[in-house]
Amino acid sequence: MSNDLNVMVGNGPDPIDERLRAAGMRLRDTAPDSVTTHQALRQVHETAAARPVKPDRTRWVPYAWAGGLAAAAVIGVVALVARSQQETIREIPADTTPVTVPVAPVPTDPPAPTTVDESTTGSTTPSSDPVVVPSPTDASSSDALSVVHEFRDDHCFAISLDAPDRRIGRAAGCIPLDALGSDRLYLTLMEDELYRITATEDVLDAAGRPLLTISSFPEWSSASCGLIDAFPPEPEPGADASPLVIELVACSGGDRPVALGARIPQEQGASPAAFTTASQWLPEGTELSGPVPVAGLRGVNAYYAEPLDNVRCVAITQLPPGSSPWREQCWTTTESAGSSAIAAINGAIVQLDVADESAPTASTLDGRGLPYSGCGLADLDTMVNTVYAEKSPAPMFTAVRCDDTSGVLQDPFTRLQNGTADGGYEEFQRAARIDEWSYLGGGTFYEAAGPYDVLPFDLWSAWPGDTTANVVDPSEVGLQGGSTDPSANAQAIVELLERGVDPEFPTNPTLLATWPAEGVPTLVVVRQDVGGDDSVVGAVHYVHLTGGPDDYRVADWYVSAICGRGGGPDLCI
Amino acid sequence: MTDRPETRTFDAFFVDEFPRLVSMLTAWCGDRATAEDLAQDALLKAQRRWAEIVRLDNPGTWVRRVALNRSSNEGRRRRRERAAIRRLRTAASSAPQFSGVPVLDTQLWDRVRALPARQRDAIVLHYVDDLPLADVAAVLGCNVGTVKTHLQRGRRRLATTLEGDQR
Repeated sequence: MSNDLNVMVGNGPDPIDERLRAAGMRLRDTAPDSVTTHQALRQVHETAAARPVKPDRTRWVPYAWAGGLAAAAVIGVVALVARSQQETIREIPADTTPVTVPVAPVPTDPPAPTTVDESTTGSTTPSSDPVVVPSPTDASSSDALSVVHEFRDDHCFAISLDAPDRRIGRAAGCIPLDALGSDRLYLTLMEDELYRITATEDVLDAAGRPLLTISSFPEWSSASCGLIDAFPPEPEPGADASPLVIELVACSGGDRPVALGARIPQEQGASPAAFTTASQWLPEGTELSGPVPVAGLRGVNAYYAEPLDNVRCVAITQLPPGSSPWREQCWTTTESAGSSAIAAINGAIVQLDVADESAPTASTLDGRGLPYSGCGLADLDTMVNTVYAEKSPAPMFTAVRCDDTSGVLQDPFTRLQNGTADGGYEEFQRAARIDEWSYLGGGTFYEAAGPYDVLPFDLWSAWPGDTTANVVDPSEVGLQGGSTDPSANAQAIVELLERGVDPEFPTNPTLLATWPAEGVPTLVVVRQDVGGDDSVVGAVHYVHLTGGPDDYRVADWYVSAICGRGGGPDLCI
Repeated sequence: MTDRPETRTFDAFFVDEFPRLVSMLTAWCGDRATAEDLAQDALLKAQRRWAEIVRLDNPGTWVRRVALNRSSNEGRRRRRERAAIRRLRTAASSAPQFSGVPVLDTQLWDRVRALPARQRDAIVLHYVDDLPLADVAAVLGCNVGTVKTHLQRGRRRLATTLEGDQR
């Protein structure tokens, strides 16, 4: 353990530091031994040998950031309850070979009876142990899979899919097994192949072949449990915008979940018929609506489908070419008076409200919500925000997500946690809403401390609930005059911070960002070193400008408190 | 996580990194089996691009970034699963039981996982993976001062939450 942290609280060592060091050591002591490690190494070699990189995957190379999401190994549960066994069978391609194993805990009675997919010639074998049962009649027996039960309780399961010569991956689902009837269909993404898994009370079946090889659809960069995760890839240099976006929308309503898949040509005026992927999950005869313009958002259309009773899905997509970044997700159910989604579209935060039987409406939220810290201040275009709010039956918030500029996709910096039906919150740490940044701490909802509705989250999250920011009186700021030069005012602010500074202890004011990124900025963010303790990074200045173009002036100037150790505010970024 | 010469073989890299990644990811996600899968996935990526990876100043940094990316996706998936359960009005107690974490430390790592992402990652990389601050900074793509800040904040928040747990 490196000892370059001189962690002290008061006059003694930090007990948390010591506890973490000890716990970390205990975890390292339980690391896989040499045998396990070499077994894992062998599996990696086998997998690599069995699955050479496909030529068309080279198309992914420019989109490495998206590819990282794509290969996330597990989607988990995406999908639906078929209305009947027949529907389930109908959905399974004729050339699939199910392999069946019981997944219930090892019984004292004989194993559960085998289920047989009537649409195939595949054999099934009951067993309480992981088995591999390639169908002797299946020409693609090398693709036969075995489902290895690893975990299951009343609601969740986790499995591994094994092929005879390679381990394919792991899937997990948490749709309650006892609440959904006898047939469920799960989709799981293993490496770059989408597999179909059906589940009954005591049996999981895995189709012997993938439904799709994702590498055939390089635009499908990611899919995740229960939600859309589809990104339009960045076009290759010199190429037009990507022609396709493939997405999955999972809608949960009533007592049954449903999945809607869509493949959307990313071009103006796309036809609903382009939702070809959806058809295999929709009841026969289901038609998607025509494009419904989204009020308040030019170029964005919504498409509706009602694949099952009590469930209504809407896919909202922006189709104009070159409109990246692009993101949408929204669903609504009959249980809800309506739902809303907040998405980042063309760099703006847009709230989409969807009510039954009416066209969705959109409103653009305060664009200054974008440059909160941790989200790549200098690279806002790469930031993707999604906030999903479900108003009923319980307030449920998921996260704002920031893809940082280093290419390391991180978890959300801002976490909006799940609410409970009784109005409480669980699992929350920090919460905020884009349109009126607020802070949840200890279950108490604090109103915004300052007059501005947006503050950088790192600053805001650490802000004591009963204090306000240290605000510089604009009249004390010697910024004279304005400029139409986009950088002039920002630079003037930087220079102001250099005045009167002892040269022996420079504070190195650094311009972090301006907003908007182009044009005359109205928000300037500058970081300033304050020296002292080496853990102190400095202060951050947020300067709002008004007026212009000939009369620019400082409207308000926020300065984060200075970091310090051993107490006091900790507001450095 | 030291510099690797270009002559380093993937197998040697794997043998060095796999146990460490598994430990780190076990703390990160709370489940040993998932951690092993994630570590294998990340190293498989490295294997496929080994000719490039081995030329990096520090291949370990790269593979940790990949592993954390994948862990983030896994974390999102878990949260979504929990959300799906809630929407279906089932008991919230259905989350999978974590395994692979010494019982003594279960509560601690649970709390670490609940930290903001950067704080959590910094703590796991530093305390479990035993990385010096400079290497943590390289993995997280920030400077050392920022890592210190994340660690300091994380410890402070842990102290608060763990103290609350004891009440």
